[in-house]
Amino acid sequence: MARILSYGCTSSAGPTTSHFWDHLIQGKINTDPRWSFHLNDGDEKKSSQEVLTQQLCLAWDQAKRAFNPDQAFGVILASTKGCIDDFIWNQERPEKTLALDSITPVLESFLKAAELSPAESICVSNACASSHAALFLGAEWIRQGRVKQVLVLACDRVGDFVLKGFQSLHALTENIPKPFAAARDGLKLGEAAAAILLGTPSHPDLESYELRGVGLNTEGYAVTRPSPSGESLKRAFQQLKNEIKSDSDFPDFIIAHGTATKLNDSTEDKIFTELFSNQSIPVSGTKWCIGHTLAASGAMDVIAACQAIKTRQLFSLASTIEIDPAFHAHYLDASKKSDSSINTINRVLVSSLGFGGIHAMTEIAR
Amino acid sequence: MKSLKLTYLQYDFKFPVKDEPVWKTEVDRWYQLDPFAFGLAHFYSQSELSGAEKPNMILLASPAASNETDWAFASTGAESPGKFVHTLPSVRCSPLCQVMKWTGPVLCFQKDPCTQVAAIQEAAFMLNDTYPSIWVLSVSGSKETFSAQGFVITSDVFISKRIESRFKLIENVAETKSENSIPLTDVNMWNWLSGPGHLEKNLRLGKSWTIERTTQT
Repeated sequence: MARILSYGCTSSAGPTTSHFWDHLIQGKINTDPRWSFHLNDGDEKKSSQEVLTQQLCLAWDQAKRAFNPDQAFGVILASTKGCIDDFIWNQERPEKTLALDSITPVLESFLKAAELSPAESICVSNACASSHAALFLGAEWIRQGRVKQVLVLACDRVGDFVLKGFQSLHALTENIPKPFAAARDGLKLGEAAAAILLGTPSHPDLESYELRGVGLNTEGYAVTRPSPSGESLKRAFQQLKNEIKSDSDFPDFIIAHGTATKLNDSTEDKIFTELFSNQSIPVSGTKWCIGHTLAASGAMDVIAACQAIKTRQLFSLASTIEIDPAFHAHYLDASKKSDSSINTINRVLVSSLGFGGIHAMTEIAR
Repeated sequence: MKSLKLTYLQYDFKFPVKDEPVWKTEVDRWYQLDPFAFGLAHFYSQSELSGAEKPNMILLASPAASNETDWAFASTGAESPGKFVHTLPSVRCSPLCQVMKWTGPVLCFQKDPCTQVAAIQEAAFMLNDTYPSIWVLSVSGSKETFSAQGFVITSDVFISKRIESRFKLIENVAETKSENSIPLTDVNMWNWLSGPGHLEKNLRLGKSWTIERTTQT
């Protein structure tokens, strides 16, 4: 499997990875669902394509320190809706624009702005598991020998389309989201752009993280909710274990999808309990902090995993005071700001559940 | 040099449909599906795919993504949850999996105007012992007229009993420099695949792969 050489992100927590990480470990919450991207005066008139390009460039600026321009590279963009708001509200049916997807233009404008000419490029749209799918594909490209490095990008914006859609589903909370709490009542949407560079370190002493594997599984159960048994998430974990070729090692920390919706959290708890019942592995998440950033959420969680390994620090579910008594996994609620029982963090498991029954698990290691 | 089997299947349909599908009991509230989700499930049940060995991976290639359904949601007040849930192309896999009784890895690609072309290339690269059979599936169209396409890609070793392959996917050797006489887009590729046999024998897919016609139609 490939290694993560560098990464960067921008989110409602601030324009850098440091802002995101500081929010996580200090328990600060910023789930402003609109315009959380860091815009300057006059930017309100920018199109979604321009804003997403600008944010991807901010993330790329942080990640490009490990980039080797002399090696063949590929770029994969993960997004759910791209720049859909730029044309979907037109009074007249925009035939020409409707004929082309809304993610590819964002990738093209990013490549132009960043002055990159990749040997391979494509967009992946696997709902909220999109980042995992992009990492899976990026690792494949390197394994196949097509490129030496892959830049995995992820972004989504909370435009009117996404906001009105989730409002129609009654999936949003007016409160702070409380993942895995008894009182959880829905998710908050968030915005983020992330850049993760995969490859092989040019020197063994350089900091990097192993992308141990990605497990993907799609179930035929229901369009928006996972099966209560969680079988598909379990199969994703099994696929991950098959890639790692080990059944015996366990992660030190789990970053759950943790949307704070009733069914998603319940399915994840069932599977964590079943898979790790004897391990007491701490479980946390990031969506209480920056909201649910849709396609970018997996990449943001992978970045949080790398930060946890790098700093040997865990972060809690800072908005969750009381864990749902029906749950059995070992959640880090707000009372557990630092867990002294963990001396080192070598492996972190990241979990995602996506609309359409597309689920994923990714493991990152020191 | 890799040489793979490629089978192309196409199913044209009008939507909304007049009759209940044979798989109506497999999918809860099937009548709420958008044309793309409906079409993918119906394509499977009505085509040779339903009798074929199941794939190890599905690549969902969605030209124009879910724009048609996005437009239907936005232009009717953006209030219908039934419409919104179909505004992700990946969602159309859910009813397909229910009708197929299949689970496994699915990757959903966009690269218009060459989304299907790109997905076929990815399938060709990905095909190995772990994934000896990969299906690239698509539904495209607008208003009332839609078309589902399936590209079954298998290695020579993997025998598909019910589907006859009429094309080969051949890995390009480095010195091959021939160009297509038509611009490479999804639409031009289907026209070439479903066209008469007197058309050019080969269609080059980017720098790495070429489709070769193996039998005349």
